[in-house]
Amino acid sequence: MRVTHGMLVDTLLRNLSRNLHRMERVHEQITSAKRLSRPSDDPVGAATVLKLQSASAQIEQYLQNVEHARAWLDLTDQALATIGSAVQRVRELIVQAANDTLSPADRTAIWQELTALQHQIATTGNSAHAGHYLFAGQRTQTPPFDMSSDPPAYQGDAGSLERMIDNGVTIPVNVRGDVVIMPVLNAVKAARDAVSLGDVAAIQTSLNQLDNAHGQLLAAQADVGARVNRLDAQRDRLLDAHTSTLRLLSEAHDTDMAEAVTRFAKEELTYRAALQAGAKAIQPTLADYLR
Amino acid sequence: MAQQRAVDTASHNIANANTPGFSRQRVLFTPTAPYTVPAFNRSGLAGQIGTGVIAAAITRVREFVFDVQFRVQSELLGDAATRVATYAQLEAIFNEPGTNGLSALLDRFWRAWQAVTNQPEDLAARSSLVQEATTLAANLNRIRQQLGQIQEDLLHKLRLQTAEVNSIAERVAALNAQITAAIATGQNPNDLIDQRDLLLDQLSQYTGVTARPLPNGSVNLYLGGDPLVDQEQAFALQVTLSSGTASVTWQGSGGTVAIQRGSLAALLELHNTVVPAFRSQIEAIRNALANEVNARHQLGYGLSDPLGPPPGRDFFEILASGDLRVNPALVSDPALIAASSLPDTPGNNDIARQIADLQYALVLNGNTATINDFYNALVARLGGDARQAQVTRENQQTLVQAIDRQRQEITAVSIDEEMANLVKFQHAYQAAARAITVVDEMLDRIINGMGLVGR
Repeated sequence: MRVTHGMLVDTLLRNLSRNLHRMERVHEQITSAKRLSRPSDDPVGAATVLKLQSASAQIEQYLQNVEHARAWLDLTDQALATIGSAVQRVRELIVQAANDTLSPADRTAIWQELTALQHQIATTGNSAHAGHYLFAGQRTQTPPFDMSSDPPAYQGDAGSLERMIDNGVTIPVNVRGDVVIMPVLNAVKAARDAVSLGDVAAIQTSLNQLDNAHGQLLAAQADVGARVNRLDAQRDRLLDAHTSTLRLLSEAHDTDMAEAVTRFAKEELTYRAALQAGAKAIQPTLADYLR
Repeated sequence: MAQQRAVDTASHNIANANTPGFSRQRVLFTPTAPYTVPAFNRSGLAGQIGTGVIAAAITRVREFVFDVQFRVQSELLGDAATRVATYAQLEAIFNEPGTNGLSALLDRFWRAWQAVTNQPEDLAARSSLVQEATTLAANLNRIRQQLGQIQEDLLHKLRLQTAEVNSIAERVAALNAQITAAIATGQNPNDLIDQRDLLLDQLSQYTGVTARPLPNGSVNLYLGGDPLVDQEQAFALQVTLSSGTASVTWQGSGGTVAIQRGSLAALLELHNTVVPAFRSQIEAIRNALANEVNARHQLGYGLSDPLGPPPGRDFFEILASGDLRVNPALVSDPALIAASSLPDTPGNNDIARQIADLQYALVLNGNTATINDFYNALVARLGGDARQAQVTRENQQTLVQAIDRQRQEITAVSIDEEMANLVKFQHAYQAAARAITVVDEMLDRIINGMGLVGR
């Protein structure tokens, strides 16, 4: 077999170039910390990475939705608790008013306090989260209770506010003011009217009315608590899914540093050896020794 | 004289050791006709006496078989190398997997709709949706335009390479003329034939050409049965574009050239099939986005829309240029985004939820793929094709190099060998010169030394 100097040089350059190419690839994987920089590095892996990236983005969004729904429900729960304690006080006053021995001045005082409480309950019913009314159904930009009438008129609608917490899963976050708060306001109004007339029988009736309304209020509070629990469970599930998605993504996309650095060191060694051997091999010719 | 020829040839070889396409040359020595031929009136001397040597011919050391193999593999290498370069550009356009690729932008678009479902009354969430949608549209447009740009680049390359093929064909025809003239006068035009072989090597990366050597020393070249070079005449090619499809045709007859293998074939396929396919897939994504989002959006109400039938606003618009954009009315007033299925209910997010759920809807590929899936499959196919082109190129490179190496073993100039030959021929030359000196001395003795007896 004939080997010429030109062939030696060609082989050397070709191998050096291949070597450098491999070094460049490993170098890219190390500096970018990514195993994949373009789809052709691993076509199936690239599609997997895209899919996992989308999945992780979806989960992050659902987590945000859950947090959002949770904040809404927390505020609702607080408002209902405030109304609940007001109802307690209303009940005490009605029981007190049902007593025959009250003087007109006492009844007036009770009437005034009931009026204040009715106002307080309606105001709480108009509480808002970031400018959006909690108890107005879908008419979230309008205060649900019109304070100019007595009892305050409900101006919301019957809509529910649905939040997306998973693929195809929604949860309503609102409690309707007309279902839960309006009966309380009506009972208080009835009590006030009965107290101002001194009608003990009507006072008794309004007490029953209030107890019914209170029952609905408590049921709504329990329902809110149940929804909060469901959101918490969903959040835990999403967090778990997020963790595992990120782990899969890292496996599919990130460089195994220990392995890459070792490979780089190996390529570097090969490159140096090739340079050294090449420099020696292409130097001498017969001409060096002919005189 | 003959040895001097050999020394000249060796130094010619050394001078051309690095000339591309050069084959080393050898002097064929032949003894000259011996003195006295057998005859009745021959002299009575014993046997025939040799009369020396002449340089009968100077030949190229080359194997035609390797040339043919080299060219076939080089055609395939040219094909694969062109594909690799174009796929690298395509991969750069799609820029996946990354945080700014279309996949991530689609994710962000769907998330922005969900953010609107959380606070349909909120202008901040709506503005951010408009932003994300604008970015998504801009990137879809960018990809579409850059694919068009790549197509133009491919056409430009096709024109350049066709011109290069024409120029090679003309040079081959000119060399044919010189070579036949030289051979007709009994010469060996080695260097001209080397030049022609080199041109044929270069030609092979562009397209598969059939070469037929003729007895007079010419080489005829054929492209799919039609002559590209017929002895001293070259036929020129041109690129024709008709309704977006490029083809290579003969300048004279206008007939289509059957281009097989080589970078011209790859360029034609990339320009006519591969890039348009990616473009139409991107357009399918654009259309699905616009149609599906609009169909739902048209049924909804913005924050300020009055009672009555829905205003039927589009969310996306596809312009005559093919570009996608967000309805400018929504950009200037995000309150007009129709998130609600009822008028005057700002908390209603029915429409926004339907649109956010579109990310799971099977709307593409005959209703079997979501928009994201369809795009992911596109990226996977791009990666697979690019990978295959790379593997083919590497294999072809190895093959071409292996064949070239075999060819080099035979044709390449070894400086050591030529140096040794120089010394060998120098010795022979010196010895021949010494022989002449001996004859000279003998003649001197005869001419100047004889007939002087007793002087």
